[in-house]
Amino acid sequence: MGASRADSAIAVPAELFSEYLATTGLATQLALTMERRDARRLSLEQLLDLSLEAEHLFTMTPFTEQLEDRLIAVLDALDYEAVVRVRAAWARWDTVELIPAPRQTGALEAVRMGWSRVCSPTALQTPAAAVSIELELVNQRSLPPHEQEALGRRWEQLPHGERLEVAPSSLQSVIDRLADTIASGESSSALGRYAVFARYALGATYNRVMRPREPFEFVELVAPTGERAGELRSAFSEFGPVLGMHDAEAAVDLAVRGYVLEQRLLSSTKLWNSADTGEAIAANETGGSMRSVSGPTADAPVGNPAVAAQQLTGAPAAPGRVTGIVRRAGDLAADNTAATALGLGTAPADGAFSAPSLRGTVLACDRFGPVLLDRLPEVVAVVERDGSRIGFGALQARTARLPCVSGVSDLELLNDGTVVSVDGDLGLVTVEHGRSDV
Amino acid sequence: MREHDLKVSVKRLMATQLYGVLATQSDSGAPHTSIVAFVSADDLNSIVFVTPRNTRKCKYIIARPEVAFFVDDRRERVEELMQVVGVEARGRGMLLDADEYPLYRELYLAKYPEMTEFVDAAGSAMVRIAVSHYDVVDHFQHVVLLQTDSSPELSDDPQSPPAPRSSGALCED
Repeated sequence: MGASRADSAIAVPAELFSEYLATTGLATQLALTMERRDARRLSLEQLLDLSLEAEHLFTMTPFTEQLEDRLIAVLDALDYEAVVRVRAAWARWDTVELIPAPRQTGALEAVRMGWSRVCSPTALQTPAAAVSIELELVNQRSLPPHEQEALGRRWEQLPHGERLEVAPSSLQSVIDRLADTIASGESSSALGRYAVFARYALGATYNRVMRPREPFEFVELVAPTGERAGELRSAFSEFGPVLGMHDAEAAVDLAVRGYVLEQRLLSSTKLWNSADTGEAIAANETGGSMRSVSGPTADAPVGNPAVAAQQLTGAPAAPGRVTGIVRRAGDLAADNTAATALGLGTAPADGAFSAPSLRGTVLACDRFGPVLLDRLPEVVAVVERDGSRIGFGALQARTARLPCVSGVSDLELLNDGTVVSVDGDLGLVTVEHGRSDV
Repeated sequence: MREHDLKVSVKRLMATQLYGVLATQSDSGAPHTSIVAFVSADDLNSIVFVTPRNTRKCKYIIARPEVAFFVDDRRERVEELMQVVGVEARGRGMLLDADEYPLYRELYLAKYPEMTEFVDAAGSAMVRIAVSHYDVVDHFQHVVLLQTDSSPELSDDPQSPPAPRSSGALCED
């Protein structure tokens, strides 16, 4: 080994990060993105969704020439192949991530990637004041053995203490856990979590490699809606080996498999007999913002009459614009009482429903789930309070070519029978006053 | 969003802002906007401002009482766009009569003590907007409607106070 670590590690001055944010306009873009939603109130999949969007802003925001020159001056002080060491200090734990930086341009990208970790899922669930990220440029040859092994691997701390490795190679372990979840009969919520992890890991990798114009292009690989999926997959596979990723295609296959497993399990009648259902019903009886539909008449006006929605915002989860009549439902992911409340009939022992038409309706729910999978062709759009752009509902809507807006705040203010227009491109749900002719 | 939280948010905005934009219309429907120093009643049912009687806004309100009134806390920095709250109040404007005048004069001067001379001038009129509802905008595009106690939609509610008067009578000097 050559120079000592002290000699071979050069700190990237923190003021360069501030300069990068200020001179490129990235600070403004980040503020607009992050403040659109309250990160403290986001579900796990919404957290992953927001992180993908925010980190992508770094990918798409190049350095100014002046800043690039200053960074290159720092890089030139290193004689050997560089690695960017990202030291992140969080409220609960610290991490060290090592990003390969094979050439000068690669090193510049690695610096940007390192800085983007201020928007990682771990950072987003940490109070801003407790987030600290320091970058060092390090000679790869000087890395101690344990860091050599960790080179190129990235971990994220998820709620409830779970850790997620974000790399194509780690997708296999995520999917293995998914398969174990199914085999062990664990709760469907755990299954959904692993499937979402797999999509997030794929998205983070895809965005790094492909640098797409918009951060959720990779969803097309998992829930294809046209021929574009083939092109994207082919391009992703080609780029993989160039960047030292030999398993890009396998990563896509695993994420797709996760989605298929999620869909298959959630669709199965097993759900109705699982312990999950009992838990969901119990939860349904004790609270939840959309629970008012569980009352005796689903058509009765709900919510506070003094406050009403005019235009609600969320994440644009599946493209398209359409107008329809709101039909509310509870958490359909694991709740057949919601089907009853929705007027779909009860769920008898044999699982067969006697269901009225949902034709032309905009389905408003906490989270889209299996109860209405077969009825999806009847609805014209899906709006979710808790979903995300990488969630099950969004993927289902995309596959069915329906507009979908997820993560809609104040969705409980939308009453049954209200005519709304749904804009899945902008993420808007707008009440159409005076219209009842849909 | 709960009604209470929304009311707190609107009250805070109305209390902290000095100026709002009044939208009126002429007999022929031509729109007209003007900036006014206002005060909002604590129950959010009323917005009050003072204007010379010979202004367009005063004449327009007498002719066509339906008005809109906009208040916001806009910032100079684009990155704070998501923090901006804007409120449009819709209702009917009316010039205050002698009975109502003392109460609202006191309310107004509590916020603008330096305007005593203007308020008490012979040519000035105090206008009250009886607000039926507010459209509250935040996070750039998120819009929620808040109805007041004097909203026509709630007028059948026995718990609600009577609907606001829609008189266009000039106040007594």
